[in-house]
Parts: sequence; structure tokens; C-alpha cells
Amino acid sequence: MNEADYEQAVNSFYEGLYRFAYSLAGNADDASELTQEAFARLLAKGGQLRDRSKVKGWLFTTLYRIYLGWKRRDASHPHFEITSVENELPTVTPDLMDKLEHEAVGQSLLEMEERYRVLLALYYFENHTYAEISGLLDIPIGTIMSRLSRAKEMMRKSLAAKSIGTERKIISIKPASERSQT
Amino acid sequence: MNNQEAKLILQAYRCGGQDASDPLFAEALEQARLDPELQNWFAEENALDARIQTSLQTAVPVPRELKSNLLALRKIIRPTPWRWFQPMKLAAAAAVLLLLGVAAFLLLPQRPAPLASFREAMARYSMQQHGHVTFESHDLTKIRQWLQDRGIETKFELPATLPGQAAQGCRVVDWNSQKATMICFVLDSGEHMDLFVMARAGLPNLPESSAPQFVEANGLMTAKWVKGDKVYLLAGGNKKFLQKLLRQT
Repeated sequence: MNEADYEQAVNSFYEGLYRFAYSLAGNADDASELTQEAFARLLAKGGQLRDRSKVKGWLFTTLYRIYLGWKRRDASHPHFEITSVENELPTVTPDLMDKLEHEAVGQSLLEMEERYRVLLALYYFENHTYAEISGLLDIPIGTIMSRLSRAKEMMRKSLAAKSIGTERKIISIKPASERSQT
Repeated sequence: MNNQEAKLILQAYRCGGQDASDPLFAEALEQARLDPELQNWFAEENALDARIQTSLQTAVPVPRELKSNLLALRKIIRPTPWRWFQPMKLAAAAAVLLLLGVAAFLLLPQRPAPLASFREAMARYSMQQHGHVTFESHDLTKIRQWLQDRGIETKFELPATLPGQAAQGCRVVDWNSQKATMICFVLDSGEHMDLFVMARAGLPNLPESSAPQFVEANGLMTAKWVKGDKVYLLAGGNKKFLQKLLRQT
């Protein structure tokens, strides 16, 4: 692999890889680190790839394995984050309201069990074939189909539950005059 | 195939074109084309998925600096060439390696410890920006205590020229099924250094050598020395700086 090949791999795959990493790790810092580690390994070991068309699959599989390694490490050696988070309330704007809607969808994804979350991320963010997904996650295509169906159903239920919460909030702030007319 | 089975398959179909030629979907797609009820269901399904996909892509923005960070990696890690792995060359290389391996086994004493692999792995940890340290503190006592609380042995000697107040924090890293301690320092001169300490048993047959050995790994200068039952690796700066730093101890 030369520098031009590497640059092409970054341009083609980094966004999808980052989003896949985010769906696994659930936060931006770890997702960035996972993505960087996967590309670092591509630089260090990419020469072992005989077929350049396999770079994409190799990157996703490598990232997934790095993540599984992290999980094993964290299980035997828990890590503690020291950084403190300040509680700041944002100003409510129309843009923020749109963002909240998108974030509710993102939140629904992150709330799901990992086995469903990973599949949904690959379904919505990436264009792997199902044979590639089967190889990446090491599960049969039939299982992928039924699990994906279940995952989509769970996500929609979660979104429906969130939308009920939103509607209740809207009803509660109607002017009194309108409420008396209904 | 009944409609229920067709729905299960069509739920996995993505309208972006990536599944258009996948034979897995051919029969179910044909069924949707012929059955208006199934067709309506499929259209609604696709519309909803498109909306969720848009929301998810907005909800998970890719950090602006990520791409430039990834491109910068190639300045740090030298890419391995593809040409070596063309089948014919690979076979030739394998044959040569096999011969060399046999010769080495017969002629040379036991292989040295995989120091290079250790150096490279630690250099990679040293260059990681996100999650660089797990525990942040400028107090070496607190750092040692944090490590002890996690069952990590802390009977190691730090170079006297790495002042305690320069410590930034620590982390426990993995290499070859071994745990190594990493302590991060930023010196008054602004130099960033990471000191790695690992049990000497993790690198068998490593001779005692208090004199530092300077080797570049992954574009980062490192100094390695062995003392007692520990192996130390200091990463960062340049060779002259490391030599000066360690000569003073």
C-alpha cells in the first residue's frame, strides 16, 4: 500500500467507519480512537492484503475486532473516566428542536442491545452486501435477516414511545383559550 | 413464499442500490411488484427507513478533524508495500524465509525477545490522542495508588529527571497478553514523554542492561533499559534529548 492508496481508503471509508464505531462505542471519543486505530493497522499491516478490493471489509472487520478486544480488556480491567461534565442547559432554538428530533433517533439506536445496534448501523450507514455483513459479524445470513427485522421493530417502538412523550409536552403548553374551545 | 416471508426479506432491502443485484431479494421483490398490498407496505417501509437514515446521519456527525488526523497517520507510520504480496513474490519470499528460518534455527542461538514488537506497540499507545490516559493526575503518589488499586505492581524506579509534577496521568495497556503501565509526562520544556514499565518476564531472555538502547519505532524515538525484574521504555522527543535526559539519572 502506498500513500495514495491509503489516502483513497481514508476518503472512501472513514465516515462509514466512524459511524459504525460510534454505534459500537456510543461516544465520539472512542469512535474516533477506534477509527484511527483501524487505519493505523491498515498502514502497518495493509501490505498483507492481497486484494485491494478487500480493504473496506478488512477495515470494518479490524475495527470490530479492536472493539471486541476493548470489551474484553474492560471486563478484566475496568477503566474510570476522570473528566467531569458540566451541566449546561442549551438555549432552545428551532434548529435545536430539529436536532433533538435527530438525536432522539440516534438515542434510540444507542439504547438498543449491541447485537441489534451493530446490525442497524450496518444497515443504515453502510452498503456492505449481506454476505459481507455475515463474514464481518460471523453470523449466518438467515440470522441477520431475522435479527434485523426484530431490530427495526424495536427501534420503531422506541421512536413511537419518544413521540408520545413529545406530543404530551406540546399539549401541555397550549394556550388556555384554545384548550377551552376543544 | 407468502407475504410474511417476503416482508422479512424485504425489510432488509436497501433502496440505495446496493441490494439491487443481490439474488437474495429477487423473489421477494418480484412478489412485491405483483401484489399491490405488499407493494404499498414496501413503499411505506422504504420511506420510513429513508427518514430514519437521514436522522441517524445527522445525529452522528463525523468530527471535522478526523480526516486530517487519519491522513497525518501516514507521516507517522510507514505503509507496508502491497507489491510484496503478489502471489508469485509471496511464494518466493516464503521459500527464502523458510530457508533462512532453518538456517537460523541451526546456526544461531535462541531468537532474541520480540522487543521490536513491544517498542512499536508502545509507540502506538504513546501517539494515541483520544483516551491517552485513563487516570489524570499530576501526583505520582496518587498515580501509584490508582495502579495498586487495580492490582498493578508499582515497585518500579522512575528516572530522576522525570519530575513528579510533570506527570499527567497513567494508563494500563496490553501487549502480547501482558499488562504494561504507561505514565505520561509533559516536561517544562514542553516535551511530551510516555514511560512504559512492564515485567521483564514478558520479554523472556532479555539481558540486564541499565544502559539505554535508543531505537526509533513508528516514527517515535524510544529508549529502552532493563533494571531488576522490569523493562522500561521511554518514548518521545528525539535521541539527543532522550540521551541527555537519561544521562542525568
